[in-house]
Amino acid sequence: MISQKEVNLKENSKVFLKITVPGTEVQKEYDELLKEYCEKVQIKGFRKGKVPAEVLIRKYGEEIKGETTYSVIKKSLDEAIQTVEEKPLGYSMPELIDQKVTAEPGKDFTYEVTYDTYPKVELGDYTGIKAEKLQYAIADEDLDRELKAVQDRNSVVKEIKDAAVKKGHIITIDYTELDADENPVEGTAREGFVFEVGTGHTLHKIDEDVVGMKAGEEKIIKKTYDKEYDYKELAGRDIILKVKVVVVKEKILPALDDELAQDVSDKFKTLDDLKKDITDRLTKAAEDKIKEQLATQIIEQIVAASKMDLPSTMIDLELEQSWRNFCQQFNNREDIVIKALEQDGKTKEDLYKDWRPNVEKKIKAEIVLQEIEEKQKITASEEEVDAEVKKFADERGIEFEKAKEQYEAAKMLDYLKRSITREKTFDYMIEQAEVKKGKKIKLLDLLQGNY
Amino acid sequence: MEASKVIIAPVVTEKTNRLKEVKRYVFRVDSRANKFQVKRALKEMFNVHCTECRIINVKGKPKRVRYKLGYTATWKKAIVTLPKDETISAFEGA
Repeated sequence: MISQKEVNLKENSKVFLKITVPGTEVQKEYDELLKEYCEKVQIKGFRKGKVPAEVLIRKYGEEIKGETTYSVIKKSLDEAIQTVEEKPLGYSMPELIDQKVTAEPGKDFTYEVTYDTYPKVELGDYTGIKAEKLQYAIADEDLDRELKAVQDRNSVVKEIKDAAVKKGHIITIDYTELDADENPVEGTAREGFVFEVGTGHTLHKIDEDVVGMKAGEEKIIKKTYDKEYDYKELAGRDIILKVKVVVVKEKILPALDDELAQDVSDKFKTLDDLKKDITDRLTKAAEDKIKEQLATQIIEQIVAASKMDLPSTMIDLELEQSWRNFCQQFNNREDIVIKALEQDGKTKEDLYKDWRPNVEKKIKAEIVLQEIEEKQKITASEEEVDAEVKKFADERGIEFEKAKEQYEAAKMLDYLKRSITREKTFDYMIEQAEVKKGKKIKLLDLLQGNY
Repeated sequence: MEASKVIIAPVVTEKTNRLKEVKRYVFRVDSRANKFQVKRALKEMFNVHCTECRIINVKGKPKRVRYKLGYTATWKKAIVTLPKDETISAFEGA
């Protein structure tokens, strides 16, 4: 039903689509609607279905015209979009530029809509990209640290009597704040506060001051907090604290031996087994991290070399998503989040502005990756998905069929397929890139992302 | 009497629609108006020259809302005949 259409691609992947519908089509649509209403409508003085069209037009002419416009636009737009190359994004509804256009029956009807389309990507060269691969080595200290954590997890806490508090002890204290005359300040008393001395996990930072005290002992501690102190209510104040140590406990670490290894898991027979497992784990984590870091480097360069115009709806949608995730951290209470932001002198819009560059980067990376996947025809095969499911099944000790059922029930197979595809894309990109040896960094820095 | 006060509203029903085909138009008119006044008022308003004007007093119908009895209003209906070459274009849906 379209006699003419004109497509204009403007900046930010915005499409302007101008469509002309011939008058005969408009008339047909109008007549159909009129007929339908003549049969349906009930007007006083007429039996149902006996209303002459003339009377109907006199009474509801404008409304019927409006509806004709709506249905003509809907039908012709559907048709136009099917034939047009620049399809609208799923979440970008075509919008009328002039909201007030109406189709006159018998006359040609022209209107213009605008919507966002998937951005055209001019993919930069994605082979031979220079990237630096970080080097690492698992040092003894890394192993020691992991072993110590294992010891810590398997430690036993035991009360000790008549011992002076030392660093590493776990103590229970009662405390109150005192005013200048050494009377307790109301509302500051706290009983049965437990902490590990030396970790600094206390409000008043009294770790140093309690060292040397014994169970049952009371002490008055004077502290001065500077203005940069983390906790605002204490910053820049002098506080007098009365502290009573109630219980002193000691953490007894198990010896590093085969027995500990067996305690951790039945799989391990000797301490060496445990050590080997830790090393394996660390290696895998480090390799993953290095790969991720490499991929990020490469993607960043490809994105920089590629040209694309991100549509605003895409960015808005992603921002909204980020906002929802952000709210989720606060139990989905949007009003609370907004109030908290207000206290910091910020609004939702400020936050969006802050996020925008990152979000844009993220979308661009995603688009580039998809484009590469499409160009190189990288997909995950059924076997690869199955292999991944099998790995999952083996890890959990369940049958393959059952694991697959679980995945299907949770609609995770597609997700799995995508993630395998993505992994393969990364591999492909790294393969194509010129990877040089980069600087050497410590394992801990690598795992924590300090590079 | 002013013309706009005489003619109150057109009567739009299936029957009056059919009557249009034989050049008869139906109006609700002021109960105090007579045939001549209706003719004159139509001439003033639509510039038409009625050849005939018949008047009917429509009696109010008895109505009952639960136990309360009452009547709908009595009104005057005028059916005018126009010469063949004249029409009232503004004869519209109420």
